[in-house]
Amino acid sequence: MNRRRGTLALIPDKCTSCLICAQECPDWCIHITAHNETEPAPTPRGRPRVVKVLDEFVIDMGHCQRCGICVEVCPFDALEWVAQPAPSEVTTDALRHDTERLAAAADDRSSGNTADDSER
Amino acid sequence: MTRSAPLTVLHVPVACCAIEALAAESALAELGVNLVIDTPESADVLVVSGTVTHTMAPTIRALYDRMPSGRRVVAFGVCATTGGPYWDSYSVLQGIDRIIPVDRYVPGCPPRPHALVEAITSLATDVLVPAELA
Repeated sequence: MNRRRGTLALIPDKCTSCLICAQECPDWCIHITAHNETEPAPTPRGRPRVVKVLDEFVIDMGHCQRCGICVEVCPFDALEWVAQPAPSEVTTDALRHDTERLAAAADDRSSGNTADDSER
Repeated sequence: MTRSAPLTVLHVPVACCAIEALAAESALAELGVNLVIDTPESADVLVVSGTVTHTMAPTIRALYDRMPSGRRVVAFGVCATTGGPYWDSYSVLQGIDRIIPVDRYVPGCPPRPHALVEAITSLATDVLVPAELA
């Protein structure tokens, strides 16, 4: 089990803006903005497809309980635990982790800062 | 921390985060930080750990008012920070910054004990040392 109540990371390329995490979050602390784009038909006999494109993914760490439900329900494994807890901040606005910050945490995680059971 | 005089932290344990804050007591003592629950008149830092209800808010404001000037405030845990999971509750204060100025918000539900050590250390180096030891 990859659970250590540190902070959360997002891999934006894996996120399809399906909103399941935002719906299941008991705190409603996940804020997702997305828009629709139409992809052309892949073959002459196909038809154009409408896909969601992620604009902004914000987790408000000032509300988040680190319950991990979002990590568990994500069908695309776009959310991950990071071992290092979110740092304290001088303003509550700074506790709103945006896409860049969540993605940076994912990069940090892939370079060794993984959440595991060793220090639970 | 390069502080010579001991730092006194007034701890207001209002809910479950207080367990984690108290777990930091020995680590704080090694840094010369005393965690007290009385004598606000001699405290430098106020730590509010836990859910603050509207009923409790005037008490916390009164404790803050009894502290000397130059006081600093740490909101420990998401309840003290923003109301946390009780963000739409009729009875819970939506963050202690509605009643007193806050210098550090420590996220977590609860935060780890070490987060309190880090917050107080950052306060002591950033804020308290230049003002009081210069």
